[in-house]
Amino acid sequence: MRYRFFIPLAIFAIAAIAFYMGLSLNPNQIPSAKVGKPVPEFNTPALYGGEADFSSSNLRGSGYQLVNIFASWCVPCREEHPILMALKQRGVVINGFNYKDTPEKGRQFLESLGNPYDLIGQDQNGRVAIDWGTSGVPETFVVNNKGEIIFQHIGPLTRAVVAAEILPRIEGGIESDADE
Amino acid sequence: MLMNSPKYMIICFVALLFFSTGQTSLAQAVDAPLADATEEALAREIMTGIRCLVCQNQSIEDSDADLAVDLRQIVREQVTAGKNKEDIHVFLIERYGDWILLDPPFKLRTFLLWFGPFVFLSIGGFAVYVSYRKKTNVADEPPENLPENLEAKVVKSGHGISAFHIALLVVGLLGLTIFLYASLGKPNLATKENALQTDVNAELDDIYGELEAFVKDNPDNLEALGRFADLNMTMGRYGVAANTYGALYSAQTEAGAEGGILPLVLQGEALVRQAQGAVTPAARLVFINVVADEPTHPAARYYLGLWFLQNQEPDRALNIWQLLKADSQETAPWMPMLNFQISQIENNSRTVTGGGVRSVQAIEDVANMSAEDQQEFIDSMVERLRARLETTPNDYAGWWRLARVEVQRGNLEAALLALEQAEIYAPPIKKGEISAEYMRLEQQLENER
Repeated sequence: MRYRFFIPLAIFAIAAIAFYMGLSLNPNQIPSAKVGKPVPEFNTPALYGGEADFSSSNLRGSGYQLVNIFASWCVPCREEHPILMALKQRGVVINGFNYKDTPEKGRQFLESLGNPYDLIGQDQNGRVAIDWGTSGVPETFVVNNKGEIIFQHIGPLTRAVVAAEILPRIEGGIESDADE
Repeated sequence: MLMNSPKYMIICFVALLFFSTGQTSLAQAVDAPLADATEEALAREIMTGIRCLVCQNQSIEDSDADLAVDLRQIVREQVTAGKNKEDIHVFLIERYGDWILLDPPFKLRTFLLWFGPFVFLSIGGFAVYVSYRKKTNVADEPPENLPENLEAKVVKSGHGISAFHIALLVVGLLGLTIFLYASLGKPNLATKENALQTDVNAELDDIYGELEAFVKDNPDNLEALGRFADLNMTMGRYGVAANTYGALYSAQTEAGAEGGILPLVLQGEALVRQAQGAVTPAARLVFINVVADEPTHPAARYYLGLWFLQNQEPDRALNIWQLLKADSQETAPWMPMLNFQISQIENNSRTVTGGGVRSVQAIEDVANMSAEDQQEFIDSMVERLRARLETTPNDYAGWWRLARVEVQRGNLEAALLALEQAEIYAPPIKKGEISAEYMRLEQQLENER
């Protein structure tokens, strides 16, 4: 029965490992509450006059697509912009909210860097973004065929996120829906 | 001093564990309060319980983040509209999840969070009780034929051993935990090195102050000037160091003392360090003075060469450095640096970036080549670029250029590999552009298959 003395030591070792792993988690990672839920109700005026307004009805039953929140004053938005352009070239449908920005500056931003968006809504006071559960710009959501949010990415898009999280959901989703 | 020591931090940490129940709001909201005092009080009470998602461990009442301002406004609006605390919590949880509340709610999922410590404490208490009981029981039932005084001894030792072991275990575990915590240095516990560093810095500051005063009072004391200049150099105060070395050299010349050219060389070096390695016109002048006095001084010649290189005259730099190399022994301490610089210039002039006449000549040469020779020339250029990137891989622009050349040569896979490297070393603002190019290329490759 001598080995019984080591039981507390073993418990301590397990606890130490658990704590060590817990401490190495990224505390800035924000759990997402909107994933799995339908897109919130919204209706935002179009960024370009004469174009259709962007509202929640545009996202229901109109295929797998991205919703991206951007602003001309946001530097990480400039970092991720070429990736959005490449996604558009690949055939991905992207809609956008111009967040807390003047329409003029929003348009200027897109004219100098290119416009990857199909529909763009003006969210001047940032309330629509709050309804989407956004904590800052840029953020990107994947919306499925039924108008449900299936993925939320906080911060600028990277190639790794696009390859691992976004493209499989959009292109995979389209394929699996076609099979049904 | 005490504030930075690990011991103090641990005391603070333990104190925090015991006393962190109350919340203090240091930064009051600047936005307009509601006219109705009871509504405002309710709004404030709700705000203190809501997490600011940007700053994460502040309530939205304490935070100045944009999102917190928006959420404060929403809370006030909803309070005015007659919503109660639960309504507002539901509104926020729907958007941001339970995490938006600073106090996690009671739920099946959060059971362990709320009651875990008590559960573990009771398991531990139970285990202690059982082991204690067992030992006492064994001791309580001694063989019947034992004499009375021996029986008492057994009982006593039974108690003693178990209690001692438990105390030892508890103290040991506690000590181990604290040791582990302090040695991991998380979160932001000052490590020993930090504390030592501050000690040394404080000491240096004292010496510095004394020396500075002494030099001011005795501007002709060469030794003090030299020490003060050296101290500034080690502390990274290169501007002061340069001035002091200059003053030392003048004082030395005026006094007719021997000391040679060294202060002037050090003055030049201080100026270069001040400019983060660039030879400024001021530094160049200093080195010209050095060479005027001592034409073979290696440091001065090295820096004069660097001046030409930085001013897009690699040929003149090469000239100076090759002469310096010829004058130096192979074992001289500056030889590795000198050889590296010389080989850099020679490589660059052979590849793409050679300036002026030489590259025009090179382009004409390539244009006059046969197709095979051209191919060979491009191949050798790519190989050289690749070899350079292998030794200095953090040149993202170089990797990007390599990727473009590889695309032109039709090696898409090699281009993708080069872009991967470019992505690693690129600054964030360029990363997206490189990633986008990667994605396009990848798709092109897929389509070709």
